[in-house]
Amino acid sequence: MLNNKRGGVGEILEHFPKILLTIAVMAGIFLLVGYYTSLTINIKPVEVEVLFNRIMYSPNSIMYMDNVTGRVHPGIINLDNFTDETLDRAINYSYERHLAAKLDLYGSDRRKLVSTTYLNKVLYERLEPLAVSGQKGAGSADIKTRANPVIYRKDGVNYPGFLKISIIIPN
Amino acid sequence: MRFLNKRGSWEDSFMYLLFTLCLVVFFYFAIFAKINSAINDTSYYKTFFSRDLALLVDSLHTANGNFSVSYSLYTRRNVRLDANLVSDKVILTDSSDRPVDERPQTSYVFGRSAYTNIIPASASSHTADYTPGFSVDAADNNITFGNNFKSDSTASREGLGGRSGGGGASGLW
Repeated sequence: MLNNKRGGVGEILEHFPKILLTIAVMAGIFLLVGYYTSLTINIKPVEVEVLFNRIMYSPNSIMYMDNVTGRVHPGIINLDNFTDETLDRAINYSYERHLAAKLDLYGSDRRKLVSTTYLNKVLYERLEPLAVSGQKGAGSADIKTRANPVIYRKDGVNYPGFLKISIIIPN
Repeated sequence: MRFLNKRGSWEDSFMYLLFTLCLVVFFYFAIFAKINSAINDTSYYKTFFSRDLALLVDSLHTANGNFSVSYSLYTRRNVRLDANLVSDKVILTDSSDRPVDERPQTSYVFGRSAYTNIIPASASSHTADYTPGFSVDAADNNITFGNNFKSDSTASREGLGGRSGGGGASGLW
């Protein structure tokens, strides 16, 4: 009887690798199904694009607008409107930790900084160090930067320049 | 067939088969439950449409003129959704007789402007007159949901939107 029991234990031990393999295969299939039924929606790139376009095309924002016709001239910055207040009135989010941006206006040589303005400055200054250093995790953020040739209008005179827009998207 | 040649080993083999069978049944139900929840859960639709509509409203703030965008809340037949536009966000809920505030909500914020009015409005994926969508209108610094839906057969044929295109904006007019 003892021999029979020993044989039984041995038989079970013999099956052990097969059981492990079965579990491994099933867990693999489960993970694959989970991977291919992912329901996450990442809209960060679209949000950046929309914010960029809002900065460049919005009426009553930093771009020069003809007061008579109401037509916006994209690419022509009215330097009088290049302020945090103007941007925050033109674009603001009810949820503070949503998006933030920094706009650096350079001269035509791309070296001389003419002016800087922020959208949601508090959030930008809080998250910029984390985003620039590439920190990962929920408390950090991504940063996307674009530079566009523009014209800035100062005292009724147009000057060539470059607008560098850095947009921060919290994780 | 080793167990036929060994005394008592058929019991072990039977137990092994039973264990494997239990494992397969458990596995089948686990996978079935996962896929079933992914299919029947409306949270994906609500998340998608709330973000899509919020980004659309956000974009319309840049409009230099009047725009009307035809939009379909295209869902499976048994999924009924309501889209609500409020001052700072778009809220998606399951259709119900209960007030919106009492339903589970999925929302997404858009960038407001001090120069644009958001007129609160509601739209449904299944309207009483079977209109397959609604319009998102931007006119005279006001943005709202309206009844100016116009199906764009060209867009639908090309899979760009409309009822047969899988939801989303079906074109400007």
